[in-house]
Amino acid sequence: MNDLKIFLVDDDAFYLNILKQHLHNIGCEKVSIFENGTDCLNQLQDKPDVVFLDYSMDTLSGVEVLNKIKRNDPNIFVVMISAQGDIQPAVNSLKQGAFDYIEKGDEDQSKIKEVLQKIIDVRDLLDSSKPSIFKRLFK
Amino acid sequence: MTKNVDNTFKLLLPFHIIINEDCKIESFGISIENLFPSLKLGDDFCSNFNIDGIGQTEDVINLKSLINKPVILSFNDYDHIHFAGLIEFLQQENKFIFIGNPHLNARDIIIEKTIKEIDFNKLTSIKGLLEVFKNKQITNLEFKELLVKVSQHKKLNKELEKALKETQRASDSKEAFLANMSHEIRTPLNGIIGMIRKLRKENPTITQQNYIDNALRACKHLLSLINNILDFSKIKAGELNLEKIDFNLEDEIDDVKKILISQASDKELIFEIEIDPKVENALVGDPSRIRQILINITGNAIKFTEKGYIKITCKPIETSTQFQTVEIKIKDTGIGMSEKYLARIFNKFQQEDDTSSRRHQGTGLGMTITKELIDLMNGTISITSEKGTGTEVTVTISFPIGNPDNIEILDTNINTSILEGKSILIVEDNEMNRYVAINTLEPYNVNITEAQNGERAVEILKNQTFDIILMDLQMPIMGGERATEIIRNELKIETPIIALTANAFIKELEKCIAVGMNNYIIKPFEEIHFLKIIIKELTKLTPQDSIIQLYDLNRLNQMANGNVNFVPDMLKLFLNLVPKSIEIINVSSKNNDLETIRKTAHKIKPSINNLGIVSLKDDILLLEKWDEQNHSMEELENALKKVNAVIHQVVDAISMKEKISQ
Repeated sequence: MNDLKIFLVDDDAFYLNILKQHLHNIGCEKVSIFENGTDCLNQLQDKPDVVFLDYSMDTLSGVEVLNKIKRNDPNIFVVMISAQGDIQPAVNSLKQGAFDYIEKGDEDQSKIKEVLQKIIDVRDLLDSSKPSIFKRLFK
Repeated sequence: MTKNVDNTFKLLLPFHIIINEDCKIESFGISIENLFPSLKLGDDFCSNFNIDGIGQTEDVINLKSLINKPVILSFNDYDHIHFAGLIEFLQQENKFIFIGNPHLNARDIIIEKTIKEIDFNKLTSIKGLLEVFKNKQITNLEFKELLVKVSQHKKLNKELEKALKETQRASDSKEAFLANMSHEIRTPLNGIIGMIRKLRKENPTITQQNYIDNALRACKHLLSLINNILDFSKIKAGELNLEKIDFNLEDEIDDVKKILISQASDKELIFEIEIDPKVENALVGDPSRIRQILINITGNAIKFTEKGYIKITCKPIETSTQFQTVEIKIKDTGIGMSEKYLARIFNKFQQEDDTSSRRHQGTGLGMTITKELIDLMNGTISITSEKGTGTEVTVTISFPIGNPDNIEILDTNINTSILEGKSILIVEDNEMNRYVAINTLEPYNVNITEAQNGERAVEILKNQTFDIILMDLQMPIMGGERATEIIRNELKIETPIIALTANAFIKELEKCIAVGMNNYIIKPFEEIHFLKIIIKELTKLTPQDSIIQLYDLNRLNQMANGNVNFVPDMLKLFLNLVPKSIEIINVSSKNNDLETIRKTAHKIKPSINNLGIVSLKDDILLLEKWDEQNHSMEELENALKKVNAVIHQVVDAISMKEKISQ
């Protein structure tokens, strides 16, 4: 997981830092944190591999940020972070191109690890067994 | 493309749009037709659709220049999930270029992979579809048949679900059986071990001492067998959780040697340890399970070696700032294993052959458990062996690097003075087990009262108070759980209750705690462990510890993982953010702005939880979920008052006591 470049976006600075430390603990070194969607969007030229995105933020909502990220670069894996008991909208965001979602709570940390592993698996699969359609298309 | 194929496409891929090289629409699915009734074949795609936001702006711009064959655009995961195989086929045949959401596509790969892994029949129906497509002669009748196939597949799904449920049920009853068996065997074993221990203190003759030692060894062996079976069923039930604590690997390996050295010297084997000084002083993991793994492997090595040596070497193979991957090798000069046996060594109940299983006792579960434990730690195990020469087992596990200061030093000197003059109620139906417990406690001048069952205990407690209650769980007339409920809820007695149980399953232990017990001791117990738990509960009663902790930095400290700035940084954030949020809640409450209260309470919940402010857990939840139908205004005000007061105290305490970033 060490080589993944990760963006974290959440308007709760406390939770944001907890997540960052957790990612460090599981070996992710390239982590940037943003307290709102706009800051994150302004840094997209850094080409993150994964963006963890809080669903309910005050200024720019998670879904808006998701759409903007996807428009900018559809290959970024966006994982929505939703509050407990607030899953339905997050599930809906899957249809808008989010890769997965995580529910805030006691187990969110282990779930993050699982999702990252899944992303790595998918990336490897895409790279090896199935050359990306896009690569073929724009070659 | 024939008309029939086109019609089928309409239904099969309800959300698809096919465009030709001029970006003119050639075909679209039934759902698109419903969504855009005015859409006609031949329309210009780019002027009709703005697919901005799905991430394909660039694609569309480039379409005209890039494509020389038809393109399918798909906007819904429905199409992908159900027809990934079909789409792939069309791509292979170079008939279409498929454009969709790449990540949805990626999800499909997972789905497909899973399907393949469980050898599920899903793809047969898709294959059937493809065959028909190849011949390009699809009729309406054939299409109906295909639909039937797909619906049969759904039926298959249901049957599979049913079968799965039944398997689950069978597995549950197996677990219940194992839990019961474990209880039934452990209870008498507790008595036997206790009695033998007692007998040993009675100045036996040398011959008698010899008999006693042999009996005790046999008991311990029996106990380890039961524990092995239990471990195995726990792993299978997903019940086995690994601890994450700081430990010193060298100490653990030394312990393994201490435990096994007598077995090795009985056979005159040399037992060597070699540890690379570059192995970190503190790693984070489950030391008792690591010891178990090493004892299993090394124990086997000793068991199957008649002369020569056993050697454990340990060295780091990869070290980063946060992690260290350690390789532990256990080498012996034993009888070795055939390749055939090596292949199935990790299967349960395996020993090399019947004659050797006569010679070497064991359940044959050891290596299975070892493998499962290593898997749980995301590690690897490999074995090289040559018949007659020896075996080398290599275990590789990656651990987070810990903090040497956090390593708990096992204190074998316990302060028993606190027991003096304490009154203890022992509730236990089995006479021998009562006797064992009383015998263990007697030397420390305690007053013991006995009760044969829960009902009797409740009667006694109505007239008498105790310092501590030891409570068996399974008793006739009234069991321990029910008795605890009555003691806590009806008699309102808060005396610490320690469960005495032969049931080592976590679910049962959780139940004990849930009904109001404070701790548990698993039978058969080691004397020292038994005393330790009782002393721990008695120590908690002393005044300085009885105040509920305002906050608890354990969770953050654990997370810090060697990052010294982490906790001070988090505390700074807490002091900056939470009081502000509380102020927002206060203002909103004055303005009757319930939505903001809910939202803000919701937002600070992670901070409250991570700082271990347990006393506010329920109040924050109430603020978060407050609604006029289910709660009163008074509840809201009380919760607000409490949150304000506690946060105030926490902020004061943190500012005074803790190190905070500037």
